[in-house]
Amino acid sequence: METLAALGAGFALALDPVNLLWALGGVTIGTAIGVLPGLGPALTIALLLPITYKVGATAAFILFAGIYYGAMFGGSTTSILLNTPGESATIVTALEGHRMARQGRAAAALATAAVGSFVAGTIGIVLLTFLAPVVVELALAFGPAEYFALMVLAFVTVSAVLGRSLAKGLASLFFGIGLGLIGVDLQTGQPRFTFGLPELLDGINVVVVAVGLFAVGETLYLALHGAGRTATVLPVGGRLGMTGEDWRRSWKPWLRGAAIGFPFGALPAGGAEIPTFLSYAVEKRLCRKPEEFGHGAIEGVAGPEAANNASTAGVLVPMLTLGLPTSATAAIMLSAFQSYGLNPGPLLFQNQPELVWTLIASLYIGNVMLLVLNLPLIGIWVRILQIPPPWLYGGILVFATIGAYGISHSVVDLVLLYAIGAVGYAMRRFDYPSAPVIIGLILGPLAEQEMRRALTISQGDPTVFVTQPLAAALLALAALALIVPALFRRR
Amino acid sequence: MRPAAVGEFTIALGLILTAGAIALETTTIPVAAVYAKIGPRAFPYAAALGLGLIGLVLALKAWRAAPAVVEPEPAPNPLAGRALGWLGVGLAANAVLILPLGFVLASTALFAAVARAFGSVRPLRDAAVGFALALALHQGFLRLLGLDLGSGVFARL
Repeated sequence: METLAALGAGFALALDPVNLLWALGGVTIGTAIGVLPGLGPALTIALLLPITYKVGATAAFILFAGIYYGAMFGGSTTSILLNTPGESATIVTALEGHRMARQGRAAAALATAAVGSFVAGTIGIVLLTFLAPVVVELALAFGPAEYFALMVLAFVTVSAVLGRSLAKGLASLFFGIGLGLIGVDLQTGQPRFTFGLPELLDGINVVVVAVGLFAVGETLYLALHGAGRTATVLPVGGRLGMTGEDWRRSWKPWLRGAAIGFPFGALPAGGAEIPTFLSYAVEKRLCRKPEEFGHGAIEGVAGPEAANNASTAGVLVPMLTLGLPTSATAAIMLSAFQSYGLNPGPLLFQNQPELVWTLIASLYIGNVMLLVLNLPLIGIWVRILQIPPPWLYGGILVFATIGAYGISHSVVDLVLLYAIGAVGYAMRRFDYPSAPVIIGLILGPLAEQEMRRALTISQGDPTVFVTQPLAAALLALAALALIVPALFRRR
Repeated sequence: MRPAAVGEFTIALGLILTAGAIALETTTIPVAAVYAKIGPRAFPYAAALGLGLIGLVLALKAWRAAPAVVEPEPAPNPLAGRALGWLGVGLAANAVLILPLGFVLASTALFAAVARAFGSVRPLRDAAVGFALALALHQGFLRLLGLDLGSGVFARL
């Protein structure tokens, strides 16, 4: 009951015309960047972090959440019409969706993706609404040792889940943690790894890293290996909508997708990719006409699209209640909280209830807006796909300049951006996942703080991490997540 | 070793060297006696250890990589050298010009050079589009957010 009252108050604020405009802006930008291949929500939110200096926290987070959700909707359009996933979470959608489009059924594929995203997104937000307060209750009992153990678990799972090789995921993670070491040590005031550069005292800005990896690195990769885009955009054709049979075949995959996607997001495992693959496999097995899979089965679009949207809501559970980001986008949202001097976690729900509940309420509203934006206005998004690549990537690098240089006006940041871009290219070329870098960068310093707090309380006794039952259990899980996949691979 | 494995091995070596550099630099962080037990050095040492170990694992993997395990090379772009050249020109021009000439003109140069790298053959039209985009962004950030992206020579106008 308390939850509903809080949510009601959140709705009252979120329905304020100005906040509605922020939500509309967020979902519109989100859809647009979701449609564009190679541009993701993490990059976009990083580029928009400067607005945290100018607008209030509530408005900024409504905008960011809209972008996060919108990107998931927009990504499916590109997968279906272009066969190039707009987002990594919509790779699976291309499998059946693009085949449907080639058979002239693009309209039905787009519709089942949009409605499924809406249904599963809404289910995800409802679960977030009622699960978050429960997790907050639990989290209030956490001490520094438990938080440290939880972060270690998140480090391991994120590295294992994102990307194909655990070793490469961990390498990315440690690279991010290493970058996070740069700057003044918060507890002693000692500068570390600044090499005498005053620009580095505040640490390396997450915007520079995110934009370097996602925009500069991606552009370099495409310029060197892309050889120009040859894929053609298929026409949507026909009236937008689904037949009665499409509806009958879609609604169960939507619900199953939501059931698969949300827990994956909510566990500190992160990533929207795995649940989409799982959902695809489940639908293929359960489908009455499995022979259609590979030739444009609507279930193969409905399930994965539902799963990726539900997992987006799930990711917000550990992010808001524990301050634990498990995707690159969530990590950058965490740094936005930090720039407001706010720390996500159980105390956020106690100290800033209006902010949290307005944000959650705006998710419901944004989801409705997205359904409207994506169904009748699909023609506009298709046009975005026709921006010629030279202008698209020229524009992306101009935006990257704004992200790195706009606030600091420091050429050092610009050079750092290019250096990280070169690293990003190498990572892309050799299949190192980039999200763990961002998570290590943001979460590393927090993990260090919790570790030192825990050890200060225990007066330097390191056994504190194994004698507290909860911390020990979390660390044991992390160890299992490291060892078990290696054992499986050996066979 | 095949070219891809050489690349993998080089990266792994780079990780090990980075780990060594972190460890070395950590020894120079001064530690006050109060913090002797768990000070500002502990976590960097742990990070260096982790990075070094992972680097070793990856180096071993690259060394022993059977050709079948390694993925196919991405299709090399025949114009890669040219594209890289234009990208380098664009990025360098941006970094050099942004202070003296301001965001708008530096971005125009960047935009035109990147467009060239992606195969455009109409530099004047690209520059015009880049200029319009950069000017719109500069004015938009200034008017809406009060954020000056750097006016350079335009500051006097």
